[in-house]
Amino acid sequence: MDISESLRGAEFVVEKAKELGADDCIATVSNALGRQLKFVNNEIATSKTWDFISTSIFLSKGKRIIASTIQETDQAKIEEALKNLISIAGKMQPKQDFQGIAKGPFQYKDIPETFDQKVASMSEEGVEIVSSAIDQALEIGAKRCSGVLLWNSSESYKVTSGGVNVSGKGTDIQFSLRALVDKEMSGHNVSVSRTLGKLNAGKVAQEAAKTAVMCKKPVDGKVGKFDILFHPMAFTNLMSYTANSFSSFYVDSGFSFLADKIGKNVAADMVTLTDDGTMPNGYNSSKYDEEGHPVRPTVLVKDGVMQTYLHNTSTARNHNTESTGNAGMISPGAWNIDVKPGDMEVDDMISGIKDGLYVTNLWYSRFTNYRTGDFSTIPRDAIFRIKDGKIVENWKSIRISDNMLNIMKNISALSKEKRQVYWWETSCPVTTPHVLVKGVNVTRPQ
Amino acid sequence: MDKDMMDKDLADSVVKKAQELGASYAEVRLESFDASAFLMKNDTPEISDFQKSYGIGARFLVNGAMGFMAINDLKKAVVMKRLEETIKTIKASSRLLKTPIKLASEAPAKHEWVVPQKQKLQDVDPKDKMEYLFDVRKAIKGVDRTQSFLQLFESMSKKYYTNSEGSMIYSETPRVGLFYLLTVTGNGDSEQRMLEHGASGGWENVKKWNTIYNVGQEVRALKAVLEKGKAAPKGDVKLVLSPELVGILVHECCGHPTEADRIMGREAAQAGESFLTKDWLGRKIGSEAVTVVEDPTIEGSYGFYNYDDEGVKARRRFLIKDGKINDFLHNRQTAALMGIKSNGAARSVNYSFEPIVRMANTIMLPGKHSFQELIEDVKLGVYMKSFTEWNIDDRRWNQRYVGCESYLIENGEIKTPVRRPVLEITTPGFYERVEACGNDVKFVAGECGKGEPMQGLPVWMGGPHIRLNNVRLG
Repeated sequence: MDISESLRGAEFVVEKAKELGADDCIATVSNALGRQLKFVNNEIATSKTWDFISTSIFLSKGKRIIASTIQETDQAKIEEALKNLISIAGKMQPKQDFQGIAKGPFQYKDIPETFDQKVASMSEEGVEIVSSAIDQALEIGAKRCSGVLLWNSSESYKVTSGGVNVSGKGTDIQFSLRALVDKEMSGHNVSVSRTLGKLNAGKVAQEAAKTAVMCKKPVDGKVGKFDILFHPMAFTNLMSYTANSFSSFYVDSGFSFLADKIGKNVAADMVTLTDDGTMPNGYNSSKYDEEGHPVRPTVLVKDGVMQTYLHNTSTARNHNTESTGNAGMISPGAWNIDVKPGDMEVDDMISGIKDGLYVTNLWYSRFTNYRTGDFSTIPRDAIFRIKDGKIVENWKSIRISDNMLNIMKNISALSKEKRQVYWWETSCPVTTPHVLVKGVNVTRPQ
Repeated sequence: MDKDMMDKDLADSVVKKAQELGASYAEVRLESFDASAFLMKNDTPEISDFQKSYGIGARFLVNGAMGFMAINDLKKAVVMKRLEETIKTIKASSRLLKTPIKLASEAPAKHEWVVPQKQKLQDVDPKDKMEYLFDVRKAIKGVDRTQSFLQLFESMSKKYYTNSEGSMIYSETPRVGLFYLLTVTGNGDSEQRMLEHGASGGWENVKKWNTIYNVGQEVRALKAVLEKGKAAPKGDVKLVLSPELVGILVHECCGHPTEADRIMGREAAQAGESFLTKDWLGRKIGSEAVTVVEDPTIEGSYGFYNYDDEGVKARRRFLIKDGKINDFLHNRQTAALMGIKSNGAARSVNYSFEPIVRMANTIMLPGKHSFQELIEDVKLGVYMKSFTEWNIDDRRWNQRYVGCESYLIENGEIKTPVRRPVLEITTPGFYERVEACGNDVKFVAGECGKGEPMQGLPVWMGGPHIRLNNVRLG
């Protein structure tokens, strides 16, 4: 589908929806091409290609709201789909607190480093990136490497009944490699970028392999309270869940431990969290949100104090505030979470730990209670035991069983260096330093 | 989309063209996939969502390398151009291949099935579906200070599968599900409960779940836990688990570790590997009371299918038999690596994803004891009826389940609520402690996550009430 055809398609949806009686309508026509090389045990297990077109539609009629995604490009079929949606809307109960969509037109600012023609046109070159990275990991001592190289390019055209008429295009690329020396000695790292030039597949492979080689003969860990240094891979996991908790939709649904926390201390004084959808090279950066509202950075926690929830136009009006530019089709969501770094070197952070752990990755975080933030999560890959500032052994089979607010409030040091992380286990890209948390509760199985 | 409207000729053309381009094996899934969801947050109906999708997902073996493509612009010229590029990339990726991929042999299948619906989902007015959620919400409000998030969802997959070996399979699978999160608050504290129901079939399933009655009971139980719940007893106790707990346990620590692709490392960088190796086949892992099966053929189940997404006939697999590891879940690729035939475990969410080794319905088989018999011998124990949090490590060894509605058992009687008892245990530790299985079997539904991109697949998990001995609870 060419540009003019897509734009006409989006305009047609909005015009026709209004004609059929919709109060608000948002139409987004997208073309997306994705590719992946999945490698397993040092070989490419499969190469994949996705080539999709779609038109997503949001409409409201008398405060009844409907979303749909269709693939039709034929105007008669689009009209038929719209008639059906309007008919369904008429049968629904009104969402009484729906306060409409963003009213434009708006000015948008292009975000640097969000499109790279080299990524858009990349094809077989991916095989060389994978091959070279695997070789580098094997050279360091890894025995098996598994992971993916995934790259996407997309274009979208958005038209709304609120006066928005905007288009955008983007690319992204991510490389994830888990290096294994044996079943219990592993390291994992990722590199994510919007441009090919900023992808560090080789560096990622080397780091993962070095971690795997270092974690020799892990022993069963012990229960207790420990100071834990979280690698960015690990802390991203926690922040990814925290990101959801900032959404006003999650707050109102009982899915958030940040309900009623605006203006209160939710983290240590040194903690400042920002959702920044305008970050250059941000994996999820976009100049406009789902309703066409411009995206902007939003400080969520400043010096430990909670500042705001994430809003679309409707939830903002219900909370007597302004949209933060985080509209999604169903609920407001974070773009890229940024954890403000500190001034420590990672080696100095390790040296300062008397009785603790260095956790390099986490997985399967789950809440006992979303409202209170009680949760547990499982350290994966290398877990280094630190005593008196030195790594003394490697642990396995432990679990972090604590409370998310406790974790945030007990942060005691942040590294100078930070990195952007996004992978299979996380729902939101996070840019974070190494983070030291005091007195984290560790449990293990009977 | 009606069956007759589906462009089967296009699917057949892709298979043929792929072979001309050098594929030694080609398979195509042409699928129309429609899904809808109705949401309700507390007293407010939220957005209703209607998705329509129609496309092709295809896999090819070229020079021993596997490749996959998915496309939804089904103009023949567009599809064929994408096919040519896909084959080219597969050829390039084969350069990194030391061991050519082989598929276990399989006779071509010609079959057609349609999951019956007593009351078709599409015939139930959206207004009635939304009103159903209002009725559920009304029941929840029987207890003060409750929050709820409700989601009613359904889908219809119409799929034509064909491959270069002559298989031609058509299926229609409607599915319906209900998810809820309940929150009861009081005295500055709260308790939460999540549950999902699911089935293949029509609206008649929604009525069977009896949710309007059950949620009323559940919020009252949550309130009791919040207000009267005591800590779990210290020391070794007997633990009685409900079918809901047994279901999640066998899913996590039997179904997942017996997925052969994990065992061989294919999910190492995503959902992880397995503590199991081929050497475990025939080895004891638990008490003789334990038999766990995986069975996609249960009619009306959420994970139902007759043929998998590689055209292999579905069947019941005994994963643990009388306490011993008995079988793994296979697709044609993992089966070939172990020198056997596939047992029909290849599934994908829809045409957008590659088929990989998956569970369908994982069940611990029942024993002979009534629930009363399981309880009456217990001097001191805990009954975990439902759970909130759970997780397991990526080798499926170290796991944890936190009780939601739970009770103290004293001298054979169920007594006061216990608040958040924690079962944190290893996989053999769990199976070894099973001393008795009930004669009842129930299921809950879930969306099991695996693969990259993530595929959340409908599954059932269940079993009878069971009793464990010598358990220390956190």
